[in-house]
Amino acid sequence: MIFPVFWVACLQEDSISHHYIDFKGVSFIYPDNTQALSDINLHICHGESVGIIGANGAGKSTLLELITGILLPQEGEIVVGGIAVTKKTLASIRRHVGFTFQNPDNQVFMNTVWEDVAFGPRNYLLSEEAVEKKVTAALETMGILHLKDRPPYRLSGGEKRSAAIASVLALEPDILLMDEPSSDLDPRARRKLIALINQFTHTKLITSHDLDLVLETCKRVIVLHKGTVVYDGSPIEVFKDEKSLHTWGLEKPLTMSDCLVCDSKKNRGQ
Amino acid sequence: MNSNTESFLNLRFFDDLSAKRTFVHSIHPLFSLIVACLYLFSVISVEKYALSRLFPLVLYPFIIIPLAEIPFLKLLKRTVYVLPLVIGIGIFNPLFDNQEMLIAQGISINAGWISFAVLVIKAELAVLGALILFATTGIVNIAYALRLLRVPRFFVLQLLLTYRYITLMNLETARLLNAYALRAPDQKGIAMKAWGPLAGQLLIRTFDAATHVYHAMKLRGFDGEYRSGRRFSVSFKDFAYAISWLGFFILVYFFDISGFLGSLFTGG
Amino acid sequence: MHMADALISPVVGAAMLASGAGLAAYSGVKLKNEMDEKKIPLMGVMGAFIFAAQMINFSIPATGSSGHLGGGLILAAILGPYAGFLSMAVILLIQALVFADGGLLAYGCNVVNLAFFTSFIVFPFIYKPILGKSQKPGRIMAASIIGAVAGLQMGSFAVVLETFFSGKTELPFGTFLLLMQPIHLAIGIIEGIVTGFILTFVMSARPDILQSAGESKPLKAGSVTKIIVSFSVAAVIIGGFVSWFASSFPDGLEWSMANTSGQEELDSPGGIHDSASGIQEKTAFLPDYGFKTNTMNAGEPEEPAAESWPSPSLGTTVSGLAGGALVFGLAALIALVIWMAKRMSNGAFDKSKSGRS
Ligand SMILES: Nc1ncnc2c1ncn2[C@@H]1O[C@H](COP(=O)(O)OP(=O)(O)O)[C@@H](O)[C@H]1O
Ligand SMILES: [Mg+2]
Repeated sequence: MIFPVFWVACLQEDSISHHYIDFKGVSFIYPDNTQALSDINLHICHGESVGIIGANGAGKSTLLELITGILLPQEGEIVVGGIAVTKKTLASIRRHVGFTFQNPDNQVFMNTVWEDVAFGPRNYLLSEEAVEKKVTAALETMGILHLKDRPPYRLSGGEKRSAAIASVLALEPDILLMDEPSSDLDPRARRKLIALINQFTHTKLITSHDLDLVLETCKRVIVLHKGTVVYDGSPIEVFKDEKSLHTWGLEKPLTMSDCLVCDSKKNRGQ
Repeated sequence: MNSNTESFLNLRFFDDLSAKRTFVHSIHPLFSLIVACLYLFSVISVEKYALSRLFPLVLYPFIIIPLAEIPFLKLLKRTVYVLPLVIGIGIFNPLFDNQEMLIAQGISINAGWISFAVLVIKAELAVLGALILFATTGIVNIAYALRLLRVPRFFVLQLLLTYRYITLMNLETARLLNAYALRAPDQKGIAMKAWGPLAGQLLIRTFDAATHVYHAMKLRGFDGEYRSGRRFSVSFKDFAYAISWLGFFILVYFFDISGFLGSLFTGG
Repeated sequence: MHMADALISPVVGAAMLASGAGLAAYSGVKLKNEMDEKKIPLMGVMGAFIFAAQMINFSIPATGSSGHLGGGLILAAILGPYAGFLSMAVILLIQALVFADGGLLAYGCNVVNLAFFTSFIVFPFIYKPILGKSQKPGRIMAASIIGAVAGLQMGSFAVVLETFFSGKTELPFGTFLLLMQPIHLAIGIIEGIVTGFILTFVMSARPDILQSAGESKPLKAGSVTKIIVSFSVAAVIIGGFVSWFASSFPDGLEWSMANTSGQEELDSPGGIHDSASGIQEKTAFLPDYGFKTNTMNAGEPEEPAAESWPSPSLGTTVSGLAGGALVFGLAALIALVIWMAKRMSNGAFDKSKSGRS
């Protein structure tokens, strides 16, 4: 039996570092009356890495989109770095928040990888030299500099994902939100992604069905179930609780389950 | 399936070609655009019976195509779409215009056929000219050249976005059509009762994708303005390229090269 | 139907390009004033939708044939007139660049024929009034069919006019019209039905999509009049200027064998006739593009060449054609040399195993 543990104390929080996120009684209902989130209360500390997990339709994407202001809640308030997310504050909040969408096709909207990654920096009126530096750096970080002149339809799903992440990295966000970032990556790209996420020292929220990725990158896990927070605490603890995971429509991470392959080998008597 | 993938393949073809790095590709896109327009202008300025004056104008595609490493036959294949229309309209020329035209002492020909030939060759050359331009510049550089010509930002951005999403929408449509075909194997097209749902669903998906794209743009600081950022430096080479072609077009305009060469050889 | 470069004269092309550019600039300004930015990606993705939708074969019951979606009307219905117009103009530019569908110089013609009429005439004056405030399928269907038919009729009439004023074909005005209008009536009805079905489906499944178009400020009658007036004024001024320019040269901007052969002077009787035709040229509207009165009769010496269409005898001669063939051969040779040189320098010769060289 696990009871939700709400982390309230933020170890690193001080007056200078302010990239925290607060949810205060937030509910969100889609226009077709689907209640996606109800009464969410959360405090995400500065520099924290948080995994958000839950079955399909649990409200993970909705939660992230609320932080960016793509969606605005009907009830409650979201505060990012001391500023409440409202129509008026969107522009200033978005300068600090980087968001990678669940579907990279919607995010890579220019005709070459380079143009796409450069889109953001150019909008912030950087000089073309500065743009070039940032774009090159972002592409190198993702290991896709060689793809810079490729049109998006020439990219594999994973490469497109990498391009989408690069387009966000080029803006050097203080808060990184990633919606199912590993969903179409091959093992090596996924490895790189994990290393990359771990390098990023700022605040980050990652939704994923890939519980192994969450285990490797996040110190805190929030489980959403039908639009409410049902667990908030350490990953190890929750991943051990198979019964609850099952109720929420989740499966134990592979790395924490018993070695099926070895078992079967043993059983076959090899 | 042929038309399902056709436009997709077309884009692929041109994106590949425009990524090459030949001399022609290295020309500043604005100069390429201007030269192409001058060429088209020269082609359509040829008078309706002046068949022989069209011939010097083939030099332009004949030089650019190999220089830019464009596969000639593949490009030619893509020019045939325009011909049915021109042939359909032009074929009336021989029917309605049957004046005899004296082309040499004692030899005459139906003038309508001459003007028909002029029309078809012109159509072919004009299309080649436009496709060559695109194959040697590509959408991003064309967009850049249009910005230099003071074409408004929103129009250029629309051009880029539309071009980008053609491939995506095409694949999506192809999937939808395949799914339909699997469930209605004996049908040739889309049955009437499915017209609305099929295309309508596609449109709804389009709308939702556009909403996501909008948010993705906004999250990266988009404020309604498109900033191309690119800079090409104009060099001597670009001027030389444009001026040589301009000189050639002017020469062809005012001087009958074919007639001159012909008279040298036929002694006429 | 897309107008091709070959069918138009430089005068018509330039005049229509200028009109198209004017309309686009006007729409852009209008959009900037009233548009929410959301429409920016929507326009682009909708444009791509039109491309994609064109690969759907809508099979027409009991005929064995199939129709396609045109696009202009559905864009206006979803995006409103200004954004719909611009989106269609972008589609036409991509078609000219990538698909060789319509030409670059004929681009202006195509913008007017396929985007202007549906967005600025059909949408505000036919589609919206028929639709009214109702959202009933019957109304949507009626508005779509009548709208699509009207749009295509105007468009094809413009094609006939542009072709006629360009004077590149012999097809008599009336015959051409009789060919074009009925074909486009059939095409228009199908397109209208397809458009109607799509819009009714969208209306029932996601009314919010159509509402966003309805919210965009409707065109006021005044502003439409302004568009039409400025459009026609621009066309007349440009057309007039260019044709004046054209008429101050012997055969307009077009190629003239007369320049080099000097035959025109020899053929013309000279004197009074010359000055009379000169006056006629100056006063006639679009002098080089007049109606062709009759086919030239070799037995009528009193018909001077300058008054009819360019004299055929001046067009092409055997030696000209022979020279042309020679030029073509030379050009092909040059192409071959460049190609070979390219292959050599790219080392393709070494790599290619085929005997072809
Ligand atoms: N645009 C939308 N309109 C209506 N309902 C939506 C929309 N997007 C998501 N939903 C609904 O909201 C709930 C939460 O969705 P989402 O946040 O996307 O879940 P997750 O990302 O966890 O899979 C689901 O029930 C989903 O069906
Ligand atoms: Mg999701």
